[in-house]
Amino acid sequence: MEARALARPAASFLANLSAHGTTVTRRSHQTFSRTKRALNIAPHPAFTTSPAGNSNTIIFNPPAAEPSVHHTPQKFLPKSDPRRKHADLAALFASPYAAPGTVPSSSSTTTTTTTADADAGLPPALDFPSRNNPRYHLTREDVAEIRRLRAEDPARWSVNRLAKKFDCSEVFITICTPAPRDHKENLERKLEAVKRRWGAIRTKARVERAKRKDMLFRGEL
Amino acid sequence: MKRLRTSRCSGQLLSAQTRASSSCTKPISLSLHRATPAATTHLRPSVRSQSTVAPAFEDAVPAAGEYHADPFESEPPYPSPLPERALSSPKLAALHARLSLPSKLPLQTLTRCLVDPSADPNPHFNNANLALVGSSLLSYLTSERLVVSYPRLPMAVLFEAMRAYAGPAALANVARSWGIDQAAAPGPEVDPGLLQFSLDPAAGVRHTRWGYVRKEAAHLDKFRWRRGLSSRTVLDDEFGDTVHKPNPNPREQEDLAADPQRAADLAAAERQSLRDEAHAAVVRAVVGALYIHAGRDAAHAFVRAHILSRHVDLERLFSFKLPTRELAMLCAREGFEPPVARLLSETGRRSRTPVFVVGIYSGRDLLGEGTGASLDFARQKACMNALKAWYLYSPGQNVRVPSDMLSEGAKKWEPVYVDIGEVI
Repeated sequence: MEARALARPAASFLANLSAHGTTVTRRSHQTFSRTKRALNIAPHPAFTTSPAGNSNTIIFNPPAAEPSVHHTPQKFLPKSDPRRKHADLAALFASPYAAPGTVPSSSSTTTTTTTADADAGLPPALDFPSRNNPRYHLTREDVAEIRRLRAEDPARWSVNRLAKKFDCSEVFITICTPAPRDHKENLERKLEAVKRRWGAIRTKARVERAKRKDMLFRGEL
Repeated sequence: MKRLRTSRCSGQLLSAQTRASSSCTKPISLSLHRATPAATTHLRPSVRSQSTVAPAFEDAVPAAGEYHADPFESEPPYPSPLPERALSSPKLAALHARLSLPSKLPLQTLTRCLVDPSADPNPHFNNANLALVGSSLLSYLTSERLVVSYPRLPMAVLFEAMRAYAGPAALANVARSWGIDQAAAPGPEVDPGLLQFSLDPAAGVRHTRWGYVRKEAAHLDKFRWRRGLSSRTVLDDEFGDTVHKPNPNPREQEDLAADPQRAADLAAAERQSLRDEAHAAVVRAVVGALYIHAGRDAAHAFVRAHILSRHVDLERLFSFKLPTRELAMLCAREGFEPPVARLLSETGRRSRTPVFVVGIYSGRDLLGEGTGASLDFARQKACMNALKAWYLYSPGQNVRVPSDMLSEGAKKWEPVYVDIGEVI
């Protein structure tokens, strides 16, 4: 207790010192001409060197920008579209990761290749739960068991615990069995109690999070 | 009381129909050279005619001396300016020239385009009939262009796109960009080059709107019944709105009485909508008049130049609820490999302002890219971009539309791409 009482004014004094230290303007080691020289970046070599042999070359060096949604991906083009029908155009619009010589087809349902093959050369996949390869490993008896457990003691057999026990997603548990009404109300009451303890800052943060989500889905973010 | 001296009238006026009906539902008659005004004014000595033949009017209007004895002179003879005044209005001539309208469209008709039915209820002298012709033309041309150019647009977005091109607010903007000014109040003395309408909601008659009134229209407002999107494609108007005027809830009226600020806001919004509707009706009426006087091709070219050439950012009309799920269902429906989110690049992961660029892949094909401050936001955005790329597929802006086949010597029609429908 004593040590803290002593340490606090000392710390604030030190903080003040350092704060004062930063506000004092110090002359940079770089002069005007050095700064100018440092910022003078050479243009992209494509602009300066003339292409070998053929001089009639278009230089296409666009700035980095978000791709437009009006550029339909090759896979989304209908079969009747000329961009898909003509081979040259198809090559122009093809994905850079596509294996050479293959044009993506709209009906490539066969996904028998192993994931290691398929992912070669592609950017790393994000770890989000997906329903890409459903296992269908639960039987009718399992579902009956899930329902029985949930009805027996919904507080003990929560959705999360049931999902872990049966090695399936939480969504599947909620599809199998809805919670009893009194249990739902109980959970809501608990949540309300938690929310009532929130201060102004946290409440505002939650409200703004919801707003951000809405803006995202409206395409305003 | 003075009598109209029929002996002064030329033979042309006498042979024209002299007893035009005063019903508001009478269609436009172009051969009409003389029309008696509404029943309340049929005893007036002066005659108002909708005609493009200038000399005939001089015969019809009594001499200036006779007007002094007119007991009706104290009140204005007609609610809107006489058509012959159109020829002497510089504003009107300027508008005619500014829009490059053909000389086949006379100035008298252009004056009539500027008179709203709320200013003059007589259908022979307001723009209601012309606007109805024009609005059906506008919605036909707009919808065929949108459907052919963007065959995969979801129905809700298509309705909003229609509204963005040919809705009242958009057309009002067009009218203002044409330099159409409004008169302070409607009356016979105002310049015929000014738009005349009344802001009084009870004044005159309203424009007829084209659409199907639902059988259950009376219950829609009372019970707040759901109007599904698929029923809106068949029923209701071209923007998916109900045709009938919504009935205000009596309880809401009580609430409004208690809240004067909100009531004032609502009244201002109502006035703005009346103003927009009157301006929009001018554009519709000009299109209708052009169709009647100059023909189909001129009207189509006018709509292409003034309405369809406007830029609407269709991308911003979209709003999603579960983009990841919708994209997964799209891929399953179309037989693509299931979508996978992949991290293309990132910066400042441990900082306060990170940026992640996530791409959605189906197999080895990139479907969409999105950036965001968190991995989840970037993924959702990438999914939305992929879905927008699907929905905004366009076979090109120069694809022929069905109305192109109406012109002489058109090439054989090639079927356009028709999509099977929305994903969810």
